[in-house]
Amino acid sequence: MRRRIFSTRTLQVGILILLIVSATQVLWWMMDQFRRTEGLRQRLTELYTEDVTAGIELQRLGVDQVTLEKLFPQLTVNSEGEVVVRPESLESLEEDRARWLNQYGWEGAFFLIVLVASMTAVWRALHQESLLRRRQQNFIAAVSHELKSPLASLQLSAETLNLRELSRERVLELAVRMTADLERMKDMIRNILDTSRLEQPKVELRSEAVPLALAVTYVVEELDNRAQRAGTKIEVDIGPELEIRVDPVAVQTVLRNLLDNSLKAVETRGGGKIRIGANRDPQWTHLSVSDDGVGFFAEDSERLFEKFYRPGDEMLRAGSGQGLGLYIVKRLVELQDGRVTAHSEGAGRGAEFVVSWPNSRGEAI
Amino acid sequence: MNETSGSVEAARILVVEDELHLAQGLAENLEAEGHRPEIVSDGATALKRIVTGNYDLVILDVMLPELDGLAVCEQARAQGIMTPILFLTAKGGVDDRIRGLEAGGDDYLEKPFHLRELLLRTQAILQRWKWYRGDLPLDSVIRFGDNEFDSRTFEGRSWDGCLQTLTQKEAMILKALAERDGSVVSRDDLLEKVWGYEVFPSTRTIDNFILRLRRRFEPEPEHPRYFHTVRGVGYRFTSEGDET
Repeated sequence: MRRRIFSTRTLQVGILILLIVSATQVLWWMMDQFRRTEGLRQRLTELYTEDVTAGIELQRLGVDQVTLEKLFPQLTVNSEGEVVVRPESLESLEEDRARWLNQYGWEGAFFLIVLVASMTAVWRALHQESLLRRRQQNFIAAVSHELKSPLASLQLSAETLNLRELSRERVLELAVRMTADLERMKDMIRNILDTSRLEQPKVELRSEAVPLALAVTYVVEELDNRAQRAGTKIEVDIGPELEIRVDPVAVQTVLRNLLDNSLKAVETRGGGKIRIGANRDPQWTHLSVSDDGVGFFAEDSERLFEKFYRPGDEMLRAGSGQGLGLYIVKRLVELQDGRVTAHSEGAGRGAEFVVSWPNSRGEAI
Repeated sequence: MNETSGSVEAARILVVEDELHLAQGLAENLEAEGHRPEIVSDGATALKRIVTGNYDLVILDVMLPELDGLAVCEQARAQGIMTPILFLTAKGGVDDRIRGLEAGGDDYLEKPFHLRELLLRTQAILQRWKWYRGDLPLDSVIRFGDNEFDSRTFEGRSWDGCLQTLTQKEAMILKALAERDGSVVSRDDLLEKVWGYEVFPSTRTIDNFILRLRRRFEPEPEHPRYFHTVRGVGYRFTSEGDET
């Protein structure tokens, strides 16, 4: 395949430079026109003054007013017998000047506005692209780490099985370990696929009555083994009457990712407690997932939900993840008119995530 | 359990890895080889243990919570800890490998790795270390001209009275050369003895280490008396000191 001669980025930078040059030129052209208009007016005024001098001279030589006005149509003799420039001529001179200035001003301003708007558009595109590129690099680093860690562990387990004579017990231990590694890879691939599905212009979501307690129990059971291994206790306190109207598969994904996020936060600290509760007010049904894990800084509370965002330094990995889980949560919740917020007292002081679904969706049925 | 290779004395090995499964798998295999592994899962604790504990080898993950592996290595080296370090990481680019070695690492293995390769590399490092530490004669001090160097403490004094603290590699090269005082040691011999495996792209690296040794100990580094280059072959060390 032939290499493209210009990358999009080079092209954009080139266009930006062209636009800047054009804008400078328009500006220069405007100033030049203003100067020329001013010069022209001055030149005409001078000419008129010379005409007046000539008129006075002719008057003194005895040329009558009619002949004078025929020779110099822009001159007249006023009531005091003095030769002066006709007021109409002066006015029309001023009018012409104003018209020219107006014309150049409007034309120039129009082009300038168009150029500046284009520059802003190109600049923003460039800026957004570089932001995205940086995030994607982080994402690739995170994904390769996330993929390679369970892969390395799997390979190690498989080769250990191959290399050594192991007791039945140890073989089972390794099998459990390998299953957990496979689960982790599966979750990650699922998240990546979910993300690309959520990027589609139209996401199909159903709307069904889902008992919240049931959905939560289901996900908690799914993750309970992992929680126990990490020495983490999950407490659920949700009234059986609470129902939300959402896509049942999407809400599973939301809950799984929230719980996975909390589990990671407490796993990093070697275990802890996760509490899941729910309540309803006249407008919303709120579900809160709180943990006593690593927490986060207040300034991160919004960015946590951004795609590929992972708090902290890529080298100082506080726990695993690709920065997709909470993005998926936010997207799925907002697609069904809900909202999600995160709160933490600070690093090391736990965190609370609250998802709120509107009740009106439920009443509309 | 079977051992994969010839017997090496039980070594104390610190496994620094935040992925629990990987750490456990490594520890179990090292144990099966007859070593005594210990697991640590974050950088700060690792540094404390490396500085206070007397380990024969550290297997160090690069991406770690709190303090990354490269920083752990650099800080340990800065405190004069010469324990060999084998880096283990998901990042396997040439730049990353060079950064690891510059930080003072001895070897670098990319995840996912082969168990046998890891065990062989571990063993190679332990053997090199044993060669360096193990059969030292009673007098561990190497003297040449007005220079002297104690291979046990890595410290020496150069002809101008300056205190010289050598890096582990510099010390190993000096020892390898001094062991064969007066005869030529090829670059390949040095590579094998000091680095063991081909972690460096070329033998040029050794040339740079020799330059560093000359700058430390030669009164006139441009006209060496102790560290001679033998064109096309390698190096010759003469404790007597002579003109090339």
